[in-house]
Amino acid sequence: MDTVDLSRLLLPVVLILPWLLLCLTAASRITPWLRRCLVVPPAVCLLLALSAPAAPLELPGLLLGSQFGVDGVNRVFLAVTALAWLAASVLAVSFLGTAVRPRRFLACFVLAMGGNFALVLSQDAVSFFTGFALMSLAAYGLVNHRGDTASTYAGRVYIVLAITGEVLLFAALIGLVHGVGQFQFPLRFDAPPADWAIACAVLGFGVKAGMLPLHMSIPLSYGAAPLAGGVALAGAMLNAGLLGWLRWLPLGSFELGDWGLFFAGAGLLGVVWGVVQGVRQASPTALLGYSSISQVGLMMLFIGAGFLAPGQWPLFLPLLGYFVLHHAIAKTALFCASSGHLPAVGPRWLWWLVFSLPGLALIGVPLSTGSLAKAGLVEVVTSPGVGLVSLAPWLTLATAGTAVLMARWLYLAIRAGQSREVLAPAPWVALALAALVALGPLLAMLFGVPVPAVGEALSAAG
Amino acid sequence: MSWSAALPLLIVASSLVTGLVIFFLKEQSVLLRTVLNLCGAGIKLVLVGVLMWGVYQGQTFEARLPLLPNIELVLHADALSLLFVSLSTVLWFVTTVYAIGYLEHSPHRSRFFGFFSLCVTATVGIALAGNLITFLIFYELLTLATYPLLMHRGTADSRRAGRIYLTYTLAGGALLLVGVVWLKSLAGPLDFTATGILAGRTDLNPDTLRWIFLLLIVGFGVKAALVPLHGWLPISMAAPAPVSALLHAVAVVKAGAFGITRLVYDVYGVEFAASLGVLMPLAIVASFTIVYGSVRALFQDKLKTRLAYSTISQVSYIILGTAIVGPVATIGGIVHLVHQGLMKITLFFCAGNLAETLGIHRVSEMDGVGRRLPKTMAAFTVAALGMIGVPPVAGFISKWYLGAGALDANLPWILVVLAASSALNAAYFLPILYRAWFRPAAIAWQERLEPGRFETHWMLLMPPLVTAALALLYGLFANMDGSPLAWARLIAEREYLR
Repeated sequence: MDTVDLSRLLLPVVLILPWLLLCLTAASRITPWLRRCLVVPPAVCLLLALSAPAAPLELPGLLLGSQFGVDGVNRVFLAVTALAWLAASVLAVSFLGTAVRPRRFLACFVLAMGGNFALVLSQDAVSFFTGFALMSLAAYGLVNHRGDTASTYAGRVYIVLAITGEVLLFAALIGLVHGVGQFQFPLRFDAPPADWAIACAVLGFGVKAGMLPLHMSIPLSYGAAPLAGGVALAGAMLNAGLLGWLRWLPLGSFELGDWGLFFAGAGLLGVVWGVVQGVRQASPTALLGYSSISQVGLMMLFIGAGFLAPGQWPLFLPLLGYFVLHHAIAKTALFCASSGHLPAVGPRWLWWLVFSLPGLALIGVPLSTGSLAKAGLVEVVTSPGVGLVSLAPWLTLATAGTAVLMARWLYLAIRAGQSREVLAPAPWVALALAALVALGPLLAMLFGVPVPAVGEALSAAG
Repeated sequence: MSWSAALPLLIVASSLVTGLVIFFLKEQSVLLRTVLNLCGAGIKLVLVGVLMWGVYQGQTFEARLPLLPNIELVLHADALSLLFVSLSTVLWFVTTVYAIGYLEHSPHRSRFFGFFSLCVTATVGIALAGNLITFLIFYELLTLATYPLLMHRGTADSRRAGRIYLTYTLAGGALLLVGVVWLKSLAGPLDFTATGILAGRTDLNPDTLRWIFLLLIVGFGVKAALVPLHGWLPISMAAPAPVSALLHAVAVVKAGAFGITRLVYDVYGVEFAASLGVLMPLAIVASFTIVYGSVRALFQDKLKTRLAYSTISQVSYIILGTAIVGPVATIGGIVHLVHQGLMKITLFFCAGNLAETLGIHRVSEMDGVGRRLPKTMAAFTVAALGMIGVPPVAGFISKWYLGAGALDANLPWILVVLAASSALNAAYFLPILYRAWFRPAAIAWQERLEPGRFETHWMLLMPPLVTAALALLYGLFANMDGSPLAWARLIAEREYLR
């Protein structure tokens, strides 16, 4: 069977598997066998991300007429989503063995997973919105699983912001699609959409992506959720907000300078604020939340550049994709390492050395995925049409900030000791992901999509 | 009498005859009554199925009976009536099953089921009414048939509820009567036509038509619970759960909303009504009702009262869809007739299950109930999310069309109303879900039923599961042929394309 056939086969399977698992969760006892099934959907999803894209799956009867498929925009997102959910599932299999209310956690977990897969694969705005809503609401069960004061508070902040986001996105959906007259991505705008519709989309997805000042729930929920949930939130769901911006906003069609400057400004604010607040955290996972806010700030610079120089957007997009890939894998690895569990083999210092590799990648040390990602960012920011050259010194400052943040994370993670959750596989997952990050550019070449594109884009931009 | 004339009559008769026979049954003849009830509901289901198939094949079904000189009783099956008749028939069947389980050991069941059947007869009559006079007759019959149901328990509360209900609805009915007679004296026969009877009648004084519109809207608005005519609805929560369910989903409140739909589309004609300038005030009243009902719902601890205020809000979506000119909003309003019915009946079934199984009547008593009644609360969750407008539940589809229709009509402020309503719905439904699923049980519930195979009596459990599943499927597969959305599109097409 050649690869095209494979992906045609895998696509419906990836969409359906989480819902099958949800039915099983509702209908049967939570057996070890059922728990282990949890890793199957993300594994199949990863396979789909790695196989060559095929024609989209058209389901005219579903919702208002749905399409799902893999294309140049969502492929990277599919890969990181699958990888993060795979890591989260491995942790969840072990966590669920001793968790209170395992059925509720499992149900919320697979619902969020199913919604996340559906939104990433969706090729139309209504399916995207549906997957996004399911994921956002179900994730409440991951944030407030423990039910203690801190997680109840985190859950409340999370759900209030999530509902605010949903309502804004509903308005954005109608406002944007109404002007276009079709649901299918890419939305083809004849004229720049109304500013209120853009604003609703920016803010609605900003809640998920951790855009300032809607970022409050991110560190709270990362700190409150069990590690399995936190990994999914940090490695997969955060990126849904970013993908939403890429799918819904009129990027590459019109020069919208005000929005470009807004993204650049809000992004820079996030970069700084994430570092300033992050170093003050006492919990390593909450710190990672602020680190995500800071990194998303960097990614927002790409989008700002896209609004400022729409003609160059096709060059910027793969560079952003590469940044997303790098950040999501590194962040997932750091999250898994935050469990503090260390295997009996090997000296402790060696493990912590390995666990600091993804942190080094986020800083952007040479030969890491981060160095390439940051090089791309610098290219975009200093690109002639964009006019953000003055931001370049800030990027150096951001690198220094990230370095401080990662050092602080290492200190907190070592000092925090072992988490109360039973998570024997966590260090191994962290090891595997750290290896992925350390292999860096080689990994990207294996993926096929980003690196040649990154190389071309870099040389074109340079 | 030809088949095409007999079928609408048979559909009305199937519940009328059942009801009349049940009145004469002894209280103890449980089996016979159950069989009669289910047969009546089942036969109606089959007949409506035949009717739909016939209409789909292009047949017309109409029965005309002379009533008074110059006045005919007309039963007619058009696309809009089919939507409402199929909704009420399906939900009647489900509610009958529920009511049998719910009232298993309570007194006066023959009286209850007799009036219950009459109530459905009236609703189906309203759905099939082919002119305003027929509509009025069944509308008044509905008032009289629901009154004993509201008072069924005979407690002081329910007697008060009945009294208030009767005051409101009879006053509304009187205004309606004045309006209908006035209109008939001016415009002649009032047979519903897809583009409006009055559309294009230049011989009539616009001011008179505006006054008549106001009278009729007030008459319908009482049952549709438009603010400020809604006072009876929260009080009528004293009724047994199946009655509340039917009242809120298909019968009374819906009859009012359906009346407004008929009035705007098939009597005045939507474009003509817009040219009279009567639709904008209606849109404003509906919008106010949407927000007002939601705000009031926030502060209710009694579950059924919270749901009642939610109904006030949600039914006005239908009226809002009617008041916005344009096919897209029309689709949204009409499809919500079905969607709101399915979601709201689910919520009331679940509220009844909580009360009957565990003696829970208040939101504050619901902590941890998701573990004791997982299936009931799963159904509740689906319906509540639908009310908020979360896809893929059907409520989202309605909201989508209403919002898009509002932009088509260049009324962006309606989008703000819809967004606010979604947020408010979330604010009063999500805390319930939080209590049920995320809080530990705080009080000892009174277990009222013998422990059995299911979490509660199966006749109480199946109905909400079925209606919740339908609410989910109709949203998830909204674009399929035969979905309520497809029907609503068909109706809108006929309203606007001459």
